[in-house]
Amino acid sequence: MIEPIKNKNFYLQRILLYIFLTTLLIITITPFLIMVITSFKTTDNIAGLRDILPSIETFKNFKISRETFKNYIEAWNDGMFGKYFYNTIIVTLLVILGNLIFDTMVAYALSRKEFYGKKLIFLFILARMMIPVQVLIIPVFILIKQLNLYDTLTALILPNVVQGFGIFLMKQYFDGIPKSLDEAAIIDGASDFQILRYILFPIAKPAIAVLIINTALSTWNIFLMPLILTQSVEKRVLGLGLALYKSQYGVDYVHSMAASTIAVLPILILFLCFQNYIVSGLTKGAVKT
Amino acid sequence: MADVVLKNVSKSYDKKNLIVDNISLEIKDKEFVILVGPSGCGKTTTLRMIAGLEQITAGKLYINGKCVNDLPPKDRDIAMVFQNYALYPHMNVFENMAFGLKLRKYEKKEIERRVMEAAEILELKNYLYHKPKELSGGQRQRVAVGRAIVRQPQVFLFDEPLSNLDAKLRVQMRAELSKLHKKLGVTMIYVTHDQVEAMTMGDRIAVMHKGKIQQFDTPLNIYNKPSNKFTAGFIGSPSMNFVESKLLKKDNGYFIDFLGAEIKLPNKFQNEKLEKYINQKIIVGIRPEDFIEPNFQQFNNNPKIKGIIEITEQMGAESYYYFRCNDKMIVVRTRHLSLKISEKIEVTLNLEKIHLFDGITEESI
Repeated sequence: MIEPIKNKNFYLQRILLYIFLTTLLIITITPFLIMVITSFKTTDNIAGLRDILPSIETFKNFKISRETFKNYIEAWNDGMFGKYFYNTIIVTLLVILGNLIFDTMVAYALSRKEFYGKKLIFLFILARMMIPVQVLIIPVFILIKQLNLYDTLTALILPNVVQGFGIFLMKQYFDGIPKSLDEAAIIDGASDFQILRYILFPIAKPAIAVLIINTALSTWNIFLMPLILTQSVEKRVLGLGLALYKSQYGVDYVHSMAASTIAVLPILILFLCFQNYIVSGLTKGAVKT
Repeated sequence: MADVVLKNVSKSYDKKNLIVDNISLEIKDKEFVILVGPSGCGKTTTLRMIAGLEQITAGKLYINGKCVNDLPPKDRDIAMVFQNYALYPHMNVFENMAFGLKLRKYEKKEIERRVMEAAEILELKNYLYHKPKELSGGQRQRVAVGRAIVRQPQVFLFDEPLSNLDAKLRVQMRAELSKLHKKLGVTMIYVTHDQVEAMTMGDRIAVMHKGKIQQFDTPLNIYNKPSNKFTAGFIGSPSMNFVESKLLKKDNGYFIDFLGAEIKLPNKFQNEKLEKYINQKIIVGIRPEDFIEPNFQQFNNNPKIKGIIEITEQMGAESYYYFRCNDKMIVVRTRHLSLKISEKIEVTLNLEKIHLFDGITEESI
């Protein structure tokens, strides 16, 4: 095999790149490490915020035993955490389902059908993506109130079942699938819905994986909407629940971090499952083959 | 089985330009008809209108005597094979072929029977559980045909199905499709821009140009009696030579001015039809293969043209020589293989084989 000739500059660039990437990795991973490590400490170890930061002592004394998992068990059993978890799963699953159905249907129409004002509608959808949730929260609140949905889980699901990003993603992907496949299906006797269900949907698996993970991430972490649109403790979701996590003794870092770790796990597992699809989905959507 | 009739059918996308301009065709039951023409002539649009993938702007389309203008494709009982095959990439060969039947809610056993039957005909039995990406071009093409066969439709439509195959495979598939037509005994409409496919496969050929049908006839009739200059030039390779000329009448008959020489037309042209063209501009056409080989002595009295060879194309069994005569490029197809560029060439005209066209309308005289 012929090795390409590399000069000193090449190695220097490489070293600088690795230093930069390692720094970036440390910055990204440190909060997670602190969270996990703290979740295994005991309440006695922590007198204040400063004790949370990991020190050499932390690692020296650190060992996992059955006793150390008690934070997790306590966090789960404590108060309403189980309920928050359940609420979040319901909201996330239904929002994902809604996006899978409605985003793909809108994307199908925008990609495959010709109708008056199509470009304008697509432009509106793109423009909507640029408006932050903080701007929309008041009109959404008024609407939800008028629909008598205030303080229900539906109030958290309904405004999110169709999202601009999902429509954009799916439309771009559908655009890359040859139209002759639809036509072959039309000749075979398929309706619009059957073309979407049996032809485009299975081919667009990578884009759908991206849609699922993206929707799951954004929904799992919602905070502002449940803060405004719900009131009772029974209707809280994890993001809000964690932010308001307090014990009778003040801020309970140990249990709060154990709860956070539990909250992060499902989304982490989901991400690991779809990792390969996400990479191919993002690149395939961009390049027509 | 069914006949397909197009009556004054037109297609326009912008209500200004007609892509298909008032065409009428009567395709008989069990006939293999080829729509041939250059790119953009409207042949694929015509096929797509028959399939129901394009709306008909004006005119009527009948399949088996029934007007199908407003029928969706699935109710027209047609099947179509696409240029790029359009196989569903996530389904295997069996599922691809069975998809149409499943949508029509056929019983599982019947689906299996029909797919196996089609796979047998198309020699696809060993590939039933392969995905399209695992198949060669020819096999994919056969799956696309299989998908059409299993439905047992009244009419088969083919949209340039062989254009993505290599030359050898194309010849092979051409023969297989012709065989299939005979075996199934169904109406087939086939679009191609390849005149060899048109000549070898079709019972009848519709030559299209600028959205209009130029001629609709058997392959040999189109070759021997082209209805106009376009058809004459489009069918045959290399193309027919065209020379602008003038028709003259003298005491002993009609003459043409051909590249500077005055040539008497043979008896078959000596009739009153030529009367109105006297002293008018006409176009004389002669196919490259209709020049007489120099060593046929009996034609020595025929008029000759000569020039210096500028381009040669050696095809192995024969050669094409391009030479200039009176500033006009002429191509000759001959079995003489020894001539080279810059050499002199002299060829004899076979006057029985010349074609005359109206100088203005370009219609055959």
